Amino acid sequence: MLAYIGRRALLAIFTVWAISVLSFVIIQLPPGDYVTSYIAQMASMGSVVTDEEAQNLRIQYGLGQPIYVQYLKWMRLIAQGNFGMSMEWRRPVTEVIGERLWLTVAVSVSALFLTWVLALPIGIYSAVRQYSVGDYVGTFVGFIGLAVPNFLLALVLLYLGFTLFNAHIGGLFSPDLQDAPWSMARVWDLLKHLPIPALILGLAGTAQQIRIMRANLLDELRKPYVVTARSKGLTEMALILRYPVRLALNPFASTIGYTLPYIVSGSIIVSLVLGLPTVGPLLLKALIAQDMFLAGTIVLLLGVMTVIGTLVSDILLVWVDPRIRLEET
Amino acid sequence: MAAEVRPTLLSVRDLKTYFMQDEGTVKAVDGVSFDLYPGATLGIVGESGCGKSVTARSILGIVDRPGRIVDGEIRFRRQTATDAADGGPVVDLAKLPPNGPEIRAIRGAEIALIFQEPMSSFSPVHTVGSQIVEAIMLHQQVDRRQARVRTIEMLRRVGVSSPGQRVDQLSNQLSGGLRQRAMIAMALSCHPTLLIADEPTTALDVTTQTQILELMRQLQREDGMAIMLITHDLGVVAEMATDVAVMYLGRVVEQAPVDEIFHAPRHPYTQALLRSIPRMRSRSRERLNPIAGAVPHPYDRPSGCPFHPRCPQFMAGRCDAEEPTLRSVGDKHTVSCFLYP
Amino acid sequence: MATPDVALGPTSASLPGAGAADVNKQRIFVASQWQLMWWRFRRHKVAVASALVVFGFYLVVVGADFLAYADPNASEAQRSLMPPQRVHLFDGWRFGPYVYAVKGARDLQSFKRVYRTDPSEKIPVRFFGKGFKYRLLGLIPTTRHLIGVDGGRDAAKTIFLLGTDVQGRDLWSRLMYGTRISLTIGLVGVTMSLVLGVVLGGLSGFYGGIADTLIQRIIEILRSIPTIPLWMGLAAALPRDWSILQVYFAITIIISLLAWTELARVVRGRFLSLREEDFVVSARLVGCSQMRTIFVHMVPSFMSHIIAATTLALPAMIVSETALSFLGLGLRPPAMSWGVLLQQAQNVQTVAISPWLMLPAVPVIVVVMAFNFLGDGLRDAADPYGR
Repeated sequence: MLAYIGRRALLAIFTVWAISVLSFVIIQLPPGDYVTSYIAQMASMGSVVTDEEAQNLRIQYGLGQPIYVQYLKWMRLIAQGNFGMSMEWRRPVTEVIGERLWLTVAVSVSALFLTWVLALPIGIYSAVRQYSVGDYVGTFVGFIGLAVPNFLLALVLLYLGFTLFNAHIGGLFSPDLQDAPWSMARVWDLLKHLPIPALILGLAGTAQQIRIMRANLLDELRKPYVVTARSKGLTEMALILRYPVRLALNPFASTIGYTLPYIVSGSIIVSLVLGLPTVGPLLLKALIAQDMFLAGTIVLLLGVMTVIGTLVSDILLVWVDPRIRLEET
Repeated sequence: MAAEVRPTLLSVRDLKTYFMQDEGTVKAVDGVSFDLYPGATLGIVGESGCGKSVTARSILGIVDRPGRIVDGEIRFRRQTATDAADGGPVVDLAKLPPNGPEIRAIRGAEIALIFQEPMSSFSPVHTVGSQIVEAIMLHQQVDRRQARVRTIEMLRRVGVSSPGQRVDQLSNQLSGGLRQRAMIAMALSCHPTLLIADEPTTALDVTTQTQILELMRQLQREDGMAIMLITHDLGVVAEMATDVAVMYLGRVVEQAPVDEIFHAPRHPYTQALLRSIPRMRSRSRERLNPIAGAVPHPYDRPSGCPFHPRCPQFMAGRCDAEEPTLRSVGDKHTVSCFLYP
Repeated sequence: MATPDVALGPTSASLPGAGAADVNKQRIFVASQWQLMWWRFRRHKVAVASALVVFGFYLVVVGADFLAYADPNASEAQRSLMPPQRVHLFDGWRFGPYVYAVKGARDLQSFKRVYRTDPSEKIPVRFFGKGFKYRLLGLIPTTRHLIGVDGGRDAAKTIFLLGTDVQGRDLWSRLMYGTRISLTIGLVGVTMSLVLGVVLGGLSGFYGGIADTLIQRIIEILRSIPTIPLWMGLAAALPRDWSILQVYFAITIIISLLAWTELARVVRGRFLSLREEDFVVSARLVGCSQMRTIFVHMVPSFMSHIIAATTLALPAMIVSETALSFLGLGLRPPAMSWGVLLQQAQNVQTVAISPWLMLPAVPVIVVVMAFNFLGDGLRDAADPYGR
């Protein structure tokens, strides 16, 4: 089991490295030299950058040197906690991102959680009561989740909320608590606002998991050990939950890892539509304004966060399936 | 034999189990009748697809959907707390509510079933022991610790070595023979009066086969239970059975004590089956004697007697027009054929 | 479909007194693999219906010019944000579709344009009416469109089936052209993913070993990365001065670079399971070269799976492009795709006043559903011998 976790961790490290390279590429893509634009920006604000400062910056970012050197310098800066300056906001990137990253985590995790909580029972029910009304309803809802892209769903729900209920569904906080410091009231407010974005984000994932669970369970239900359990005298409910569901859970659990990137990805657009104070809207504005350090850092942090989440779910999977524990596959 | 009126343990009358599918209705069991006495071994023989397994599952009410029992009686004498000579109340299993508390109380506790494929019949992620313990705790008022003790004892009884260790192993860690023994342990853990064995040795090599059969005989002697042995192997039947029922296309075509079946078979199908067994002492290059034709497609049943297209003694006008019923032709010997009206 | 009568087993003559019944003759029906697939597919009514829907959409792609009635780029502030018009089908008792003329005026208090229908002026709608010039199928110059307006009037100024956008451009016509781009981007992208997926997945599955491990790891890494931030980043980096065509291809490449992983997995899985099949081993034993084994023996077995997987990959492409363009990072005006059209519907206030701006969402949803059902049906039918 340790070997397995070790391998996954190694892969995670490689993935983080790949993401950092890609983020670096994004930062470097726009034409022009960072320092030159920085000087120009400062000049337009009326402040002057001395030659010495400019030179220091050049050394710090390794400008003028080969690409991989610049990359390494950037990595070193990050290791020190320095993610660069946001040109648009004229503040360190970390300040600008602030709590938004944590809110993104909150929204993504609650979407993931919701996916599980919904998909499991619906999938089980669909498989056991095949071709029943409940099965069709579940499948239908699932299809809505798959067919309607999450941002469109968000748009439609916003519109309906606005016109039918005169309510503003978007946002993660009530207006008065929006910028307030953290408190129990604020946490509670957040929790009250989370379900709708979580549902919108998670619906597609839920639909997919329902289909997977249903297919897995249908496969398992055909197997002989189910008949054995029944012939021992167990009730249907007990035997289904204890045996085939248990086995159908394994491949199901391994798919969670890949749902997370999808959810994080989707949260970007959905938060734009719903106006959530997460990383999404910030990223878009940064890209349009060519505020590259901000954009690149956001991509990097999002990627790393996703990889960590995936690693955690892989560890959970191993804990759940004793077969992997015993056989070091 | 003296007219010893032992009460039957299981009495099946005209059982019909059909599978209603889009393409048509498959009459897997189409009028099966037989009797089983306490302590006896009934061998049910027939080719693949003749409905033997479906009969077994119908008795316990675990036929896979879309199959259903549509007609017939399955009268089973239940155990009671007291050891009354004529046993307890008789219940018609076919009429019990499916998966209701009564049939579930009978499953595992009074009628147990063992399967052909012990590997896939155990859950791959639960230990063998936990599955046996579960069976015990379902039907007997004991706590987990006691159930575990009984499980280990049962494993020892069926000949599993180091039962204390094996009880915590997964089924894929045991060999084929051991798995089948564990399966038998699970089935017998609650001391049923009837053990239904569905091709218990088909998936095993010959040596293990012998051991398992010997084990079953020994346990039967010790516990006095009846065995319903389903197989297509006439050799196994000759070794184990006291009575034999021959099935073809969902019907019992002949039932008799084992000696009668082998030495005085009456039904043309039984005779053809026996003729087709290769003999050790046959001359070299002697032709084998297969049964002409093939088992008809389930959707395409022949009219009248189901065997008539392949029967060497086919009587035109009779055999393809009417369906024969089981008639007595001797002491406990019944045949379903127009040759014996 | 051949139906030969074939005799089986020992003939009646060899058994004494054997039955005269025709036990020895059985009729055999023969059908090819593709026929079996087609029969199985046909049973899924929903999948068949979806196939028709998809076909219909691609007809629109071909005939976009014909189906539109107004020049999609003709903007006019006086027609800004007009709501969809009601088409009356019956004039009195006759079938004669017509619309009422619409007059616009600026509301002096809100400074917004307000539109009133004028019931005194009926404008008959004609099928195959005249409109702006275009080339049918790219070859034949014509001015005929599906619908047009009589009497020397300009359709662009009178009919507004789905209303207009902020710049007064007819939404229906734009939607027709938008369909063309949205659906073809999907095709181009899927082709690229298919090539990448088949090649890499094939290498991985067939040869195994180091190539397999390496490619597998790459696929896993790509799958763990959230795609949209990456796409956004790469798309935003495209120079502003690139032509529409260049942007189009660049976007397609960007999307395909991450989308091939799913197809590669399917191909790899198929190769892995087929490698162990007896018929493949026997092909090698008989002396077939590797190329021949792959292309003549293995590939036909999983062609159908590839087709199914590809069909299922298409909607993802379409949605990705729509999402990127919706954000303003994908295709840019004057290019038209569903995403570009939806850009106008980005915030609630706009949409609340002009909900018809959300209409381009409908074809997206319909197409995604249709492709999903179709792909599901194909996948189920893909293995006619299996369960």
